[in-house]
Amino acid sequence: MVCCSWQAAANTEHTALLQHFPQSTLSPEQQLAEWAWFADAAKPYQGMTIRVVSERIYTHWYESNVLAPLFSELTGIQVIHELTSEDDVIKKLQAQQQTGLNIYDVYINDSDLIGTHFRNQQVVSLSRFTEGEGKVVTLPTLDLDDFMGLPFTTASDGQLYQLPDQQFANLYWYRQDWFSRPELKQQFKELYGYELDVPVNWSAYQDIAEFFSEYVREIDGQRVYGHMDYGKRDPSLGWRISDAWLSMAGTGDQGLPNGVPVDEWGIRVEDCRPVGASVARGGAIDAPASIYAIQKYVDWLKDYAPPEAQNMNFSEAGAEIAKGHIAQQIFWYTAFTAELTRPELPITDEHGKPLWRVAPSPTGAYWQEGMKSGYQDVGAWTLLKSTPLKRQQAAWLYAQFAVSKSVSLTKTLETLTPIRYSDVHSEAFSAMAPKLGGLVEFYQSRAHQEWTPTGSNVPDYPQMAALWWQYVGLASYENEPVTQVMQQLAVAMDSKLEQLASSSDSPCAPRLNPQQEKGVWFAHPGSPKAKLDNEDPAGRTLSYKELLKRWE
Amino acid sequence: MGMIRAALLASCLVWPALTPAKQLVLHGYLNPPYVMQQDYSLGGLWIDIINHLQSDSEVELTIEMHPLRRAYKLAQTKPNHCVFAIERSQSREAQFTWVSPLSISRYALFNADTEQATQPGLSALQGQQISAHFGSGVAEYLRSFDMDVVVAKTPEQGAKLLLRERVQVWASDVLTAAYLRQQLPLPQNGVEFFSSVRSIACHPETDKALLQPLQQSLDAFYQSGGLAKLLQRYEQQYQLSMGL
Repeated sequence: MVCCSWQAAANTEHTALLQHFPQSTLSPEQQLAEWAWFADAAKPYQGMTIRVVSERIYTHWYESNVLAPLFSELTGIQVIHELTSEDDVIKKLQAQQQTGLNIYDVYINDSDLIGTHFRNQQVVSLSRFTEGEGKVVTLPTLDLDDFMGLPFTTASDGQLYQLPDQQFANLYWYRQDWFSRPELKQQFKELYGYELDVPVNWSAYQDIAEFFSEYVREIDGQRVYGHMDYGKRDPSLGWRISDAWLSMAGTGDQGLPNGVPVDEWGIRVEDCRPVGASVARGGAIDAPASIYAIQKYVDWLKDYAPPEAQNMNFSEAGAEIAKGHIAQQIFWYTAFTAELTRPELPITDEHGKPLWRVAPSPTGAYWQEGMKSGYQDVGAWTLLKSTPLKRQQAAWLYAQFAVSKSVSLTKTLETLTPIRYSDVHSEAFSAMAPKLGGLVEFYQSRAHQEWTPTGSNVPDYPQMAALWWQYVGLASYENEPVTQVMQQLAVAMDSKLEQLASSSDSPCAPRLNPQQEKGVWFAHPGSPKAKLDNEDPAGRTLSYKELLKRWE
Repeated sequence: MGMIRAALLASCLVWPALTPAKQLVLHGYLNPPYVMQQDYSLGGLWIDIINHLQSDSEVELTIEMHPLRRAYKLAQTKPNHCVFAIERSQSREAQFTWVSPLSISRYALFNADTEQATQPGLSALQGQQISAHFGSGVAEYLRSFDMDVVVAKTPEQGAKLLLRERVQVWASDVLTAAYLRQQLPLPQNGVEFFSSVRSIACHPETDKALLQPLQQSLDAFYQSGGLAKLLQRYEQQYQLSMGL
């Protein structure tokens, strides 16, 4: 038996930490052993201060205010864990890559940038780091196979570039208590001819939106709406669109995680090289499915959401459904589950149980089985090559502490953004199911593999994501025609791909297809797809129980 | 006081004196040691960088000094007019076209007890009054976490609120704090909590043919290591390390 100093010390030191992490898939002895390893491995870095930046969701607030101070006590490494808006995280990462200055020692950066990271080679490959310069500071019990999100943070070159820290999905959200009211169910059936239940397709979603906004109008004396979204021309509008609208509509191809060969951004890839975004080059950003998606987004926002929603951004709109006047939302970020289960809210009952549920989002007319079902966000630890090695090593210790098995179950139960299979299938997480409106069922099913982040087709996420809000905002905020806006967006995306083609020597750099008549591409199987004769089939709903079976 | 002086100087600190048709007008504000009045000219870190960009890119630049609020407004309303330097943030992203980053700032919290301070997380500040100066972006940042923030007109006024015990904590970027420490008995060490990217923000319809060479010169200045050397000079002068 091999023994080392950190194991020998485990029984006597760090027991005070146990009170902070009462729930773990490890035994208390195993937790103490992990903490003893961290204390020992951190000795060469004691007295250092490391800087971390992450987006501003509750999970990272918990890390910044609970985990960081405890890590500092345990290791003697001070941590400045900063929270800021998602676009600011990306801008800061870009600034570090652009300047070579070491602004932060580690980023918690969405895996949506995986296509950028593996092409520009400014990010440390964790596969190499953990076997090389970082081996001495890599937790022996890290257990990478236990991370659900690893496929999303591993690039097509087979290298792991990012370690998942938190995950959340975009799911359909609705007020189950309202949908269960007999008088509303009867009124809906009389008007639309089918049951008021969870919508399976966009036609049903639209009917339900109209029903609550135009026919019901008031519940218990309060003006209510059948839809919620936001439209302000702001970076957060870009994620709203690129995250999920086009994938749910059916813009891309079948094949997980993002569609092959055309992904949910409408970018066609051949042999890892992006070859076009416009239909003329085999892409789909200006294809009928994408125009249909954005037209529905614009129309529903104007027709069925509260009037102020058009001038809102992500954070302003995020607070709305907690006010209790929204009946449904086509997709909602489950990162906010913890905030929506507070007992004082009008959307929880007197016992603090949610009056709402989450379910698979309804899909658009172009969507087919085998395509991704929605978006999942994977915020992941990301080291940059411009950070000095010693600082990378100290930061890597903090990163692993925040996701270690000794910490992660307690963190998961507190923040509800799970990353480990072991936590998701634990008794403690299962016991939370009645309080979380469907979140536990989602993560315990295969669905968590069908809701996927932006994939490796997107060769420069920071630059290309900015195009989404700049163009779609013209439709949502300045009333320009959707078809024209999407055609302009396709040209801008192709132009960006061309620019990247000329400035990158990556073997997976873009290489644009020649332009062809659109009909040539529509005649090909798959995406881009020709316009359907009927984009508004009959509405279809299912009971919540039946719908959850889709996740089994 | 700094703001008033800046406003009075607005008409005489125009450089170069004659403005050709195709040029960028950069509106700045006094903010030592980033922008300082030195006799009849301007100096400071941002002025040094802009001087380099002017000579390297050959873009015609005119610097005009104003109070920050006025400088900001001019960049919002007139094409080919910019304000330097403001925090580049998500909420401002759509309002401007950016030449970025002009500099990175580290912000810290200073109080009488920070000599041995550890990093407690922002939640430890609940219940304390914090002063921060207008325009830094930090007041808004701290308020978004429900902190009790008193907005001072200048960094100097914010520091004096701490010294007069009108607030418990002063939030400032560490370079400004080091500059003010030469004149005021301020605490030596702060607890760092935030870094910001400060940039030149231009009207969204500004001529890209003017902005592109400026951005390319800025990128080249970083890549050559010239900007890092310039920053080191300021770090040595004010005896601090920003860890960049």
